[in-house]
Amino acid sequence: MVLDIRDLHTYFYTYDGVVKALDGVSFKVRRGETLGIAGETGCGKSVTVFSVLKLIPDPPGRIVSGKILFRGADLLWGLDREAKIKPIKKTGRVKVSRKFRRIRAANDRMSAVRGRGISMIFQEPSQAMNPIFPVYDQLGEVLLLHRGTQLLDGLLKADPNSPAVAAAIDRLAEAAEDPATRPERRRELARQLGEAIGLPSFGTRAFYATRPSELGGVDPRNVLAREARTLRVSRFERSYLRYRRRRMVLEDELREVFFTEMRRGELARGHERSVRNRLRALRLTHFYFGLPGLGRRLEKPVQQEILWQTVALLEGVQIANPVQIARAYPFELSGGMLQRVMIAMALAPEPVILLADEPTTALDVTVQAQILTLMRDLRDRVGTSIVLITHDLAVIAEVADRVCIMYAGQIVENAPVKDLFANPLHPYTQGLLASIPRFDQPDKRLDSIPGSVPNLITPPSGCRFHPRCPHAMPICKEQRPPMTDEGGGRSVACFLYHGTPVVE
Amino acid sequence: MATLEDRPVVLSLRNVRKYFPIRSGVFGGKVGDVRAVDGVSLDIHEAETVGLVGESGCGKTTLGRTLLRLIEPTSGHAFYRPPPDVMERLDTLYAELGKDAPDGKAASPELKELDQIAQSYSIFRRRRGQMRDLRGKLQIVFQDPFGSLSPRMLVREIVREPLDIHHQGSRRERDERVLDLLQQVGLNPEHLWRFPHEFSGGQRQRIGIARALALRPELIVLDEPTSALDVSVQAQILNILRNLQGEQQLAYLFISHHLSVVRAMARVVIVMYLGQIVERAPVDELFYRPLHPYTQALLSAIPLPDPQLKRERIILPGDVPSPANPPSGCRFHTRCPAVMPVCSKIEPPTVEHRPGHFVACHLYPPPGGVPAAEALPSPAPAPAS
Repeated sequence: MVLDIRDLHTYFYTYDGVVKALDGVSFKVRRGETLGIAGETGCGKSVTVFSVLKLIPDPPGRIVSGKILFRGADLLWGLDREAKIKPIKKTGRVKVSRKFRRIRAANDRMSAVRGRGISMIFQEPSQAMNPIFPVYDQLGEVLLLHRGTQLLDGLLKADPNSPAVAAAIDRLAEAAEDPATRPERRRELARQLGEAIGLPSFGTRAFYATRPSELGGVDPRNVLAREARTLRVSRFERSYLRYRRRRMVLEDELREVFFTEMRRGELARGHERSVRNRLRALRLTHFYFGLPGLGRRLEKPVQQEILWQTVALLEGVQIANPVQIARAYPFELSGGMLQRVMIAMALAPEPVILLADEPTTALDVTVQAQILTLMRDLRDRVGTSIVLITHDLAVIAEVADRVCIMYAGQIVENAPVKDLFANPLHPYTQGLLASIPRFDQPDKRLDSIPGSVPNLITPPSGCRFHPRCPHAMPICKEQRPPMTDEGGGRSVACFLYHGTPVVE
Repeated sequence: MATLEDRPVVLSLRNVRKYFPIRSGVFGGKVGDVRAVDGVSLDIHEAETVGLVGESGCGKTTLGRTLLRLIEPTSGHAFYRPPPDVMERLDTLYAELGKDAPDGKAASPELKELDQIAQSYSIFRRRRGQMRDLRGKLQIVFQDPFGSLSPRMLVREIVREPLDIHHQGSRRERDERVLDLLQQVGLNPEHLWRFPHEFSGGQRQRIGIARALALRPELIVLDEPTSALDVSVQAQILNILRNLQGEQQLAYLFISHHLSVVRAMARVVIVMYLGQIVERAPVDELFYRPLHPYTQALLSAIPLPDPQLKRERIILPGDVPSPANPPSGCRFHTRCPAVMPVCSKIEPPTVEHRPGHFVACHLYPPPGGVPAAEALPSPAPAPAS
């Protein structure tokens, strides 16, 4: 069990009233499992995953209560001290007084989980990226933040002068000169060169530098030697890289402190202060690295390294000409390409859980097929758990192991994917499935669910689906149906079924 | 059941092209064209739905808007209810002139005749005032229900506006008609006095449909009418559209990237790729025996809402090429899994492979053979699926 969400309530406090976007949502995600969350627009799918990462804009939104357990740590620890919510007399409205220092501290703590713990693919890739930085800058930021120490270690250890390197360069150059060499062979030799130098990304770099189109008659030996020379780090640069590395180690330690705080449920103020003091002391003793004009020059080897690591990441998501794409700006790329960049970005820290919020909704079917295949491969390779949000049940049928159906801020049915599609229990699920047109069943009648999604400021009493439900009974209006266990790992919230209530 | 050909044609397109110029430099000189629609011909019969599918950027929407002259076409013709004998003559003329017939520039007698026919029948040659008479017959429902309704107008005004412009009936009759229209699309009289922002996406799309129905059209271009909606609401809208077609003998041009929806709605499906039609067939034929490799890939990519079914996927590499610089020969050859040497050189002709099933692919050569293709290896047999 990597993620366990219990009775989560997220409200938005607006002028019109309190929007109860999530009203008691509970589900679990196991290791390596893909959980699909489906429902209509405005049912709270996105709010659920945004709550998990604490990305709910606050104000107006607030997570009000609940537990989000990630590997034993409660991400919502200290929630009740962050704000006081009091009803205003006679008006029916509420006053929220936020304690912003505590909210900021809680946000800081989340940095222990974001990225390496839980990462996210956003719905609109063109909106989620910064338009003024090239792709490699933005992907590289993720790398520096989450794999920074390894990256700098590589740069510090790289040694382009050993005889093994010269031999590897010779072998690659020979292969590159021969027009009959297959790219796979060249890639293998380039990889060996990277290993000889001690910097795997140099393999990628050497591979792209020795492409026939790139060389154009120039001696590949010269090209490779020139590329290798750029890896030499001067003493001053070396001390800068060491300083960066020490800072990263301390920042990692700080995140470790935060994670322990969330796991134990108590503040570790003393420990945190000692780490912060060490960080401050480091910055002060090396103040000259922050001088304008100096930092950027020293940053050059790092920038180069993140460019080539980015290229390797982009290769992983099957982008055809990764060097060009890595240097491009987001607006230059098509939607499918950007979405693949987003996926590469979300997977760069090798997260435990990947939250994918409508990753393919903006894309064409052929690109959607590429992306879904990619996500499935990555899950099998890395063992990441995926929470996939979509309104397209067909996508869920393709990739998910388990499905949660949401309606008006609540989960109404939770079942293994095969059972859900073979035998939907909740009337809402039945309605959803009946309304999907299928090209393999052209004569299928399209039954629509009458009415539309309810207003969440004044949701219907009892079961929220009762005004649209074909099986509505008197009790549905009065009581909220509990989530009951129906066997086979299924549960449903509906009075038509009489299983034992699930105890949270 | 009447076959398609029995019914009169509402709208015929011949060789329609729409190029958007790319301008650059200080003086805005033209440096190239985006070939959004490049030589499309099709017929839409009375009370029939033609589905138009393809990926984004393939020119579906441009085609829909061009045939209503919401965008001025670059060349080609569209005929509203053309007399059959004229159409026949036109098609023989086109056949004689070959595919690349320029529109009325050279002086050959065939071209002159073609130009004459176009002058008297083509809606692309009509002047503004003449065009307005046709607007009532040819209508459109837009994709985005949020952008296509004026936020400052009441629902009543939105639906009434076409009636006002075309001076139909007295004021009272118009008001009655508006009520009637709202009822047809499943809205209530109480909705008359509301603004568009008070409605959900599905309800707005209903308003858009009511507006399109106001002048009793014969053809409605449905430009992705449900792609912004949830499935449950989508089903409501599709059902309304189907019922209206049955009641009013409407012809639809149903533009969608969602193949399952097209399957549920259309009788004939046209597949577009980079501004050109690659395959056209009756709906069952297309879905059970797709011929063009692009159609096959497109069909295999549709996710099915059934986890038990595991199908073989054809994954197309890469992205759709830029329509500003389309690949030579067959435009699909850069991504085609069955590509042959001939594909990058010669544009495949459109062939009627089976009755009513047209395809433009070198895998299906015409009876006479492709010119200059003899020297190349013979194409693989058609895959049966």
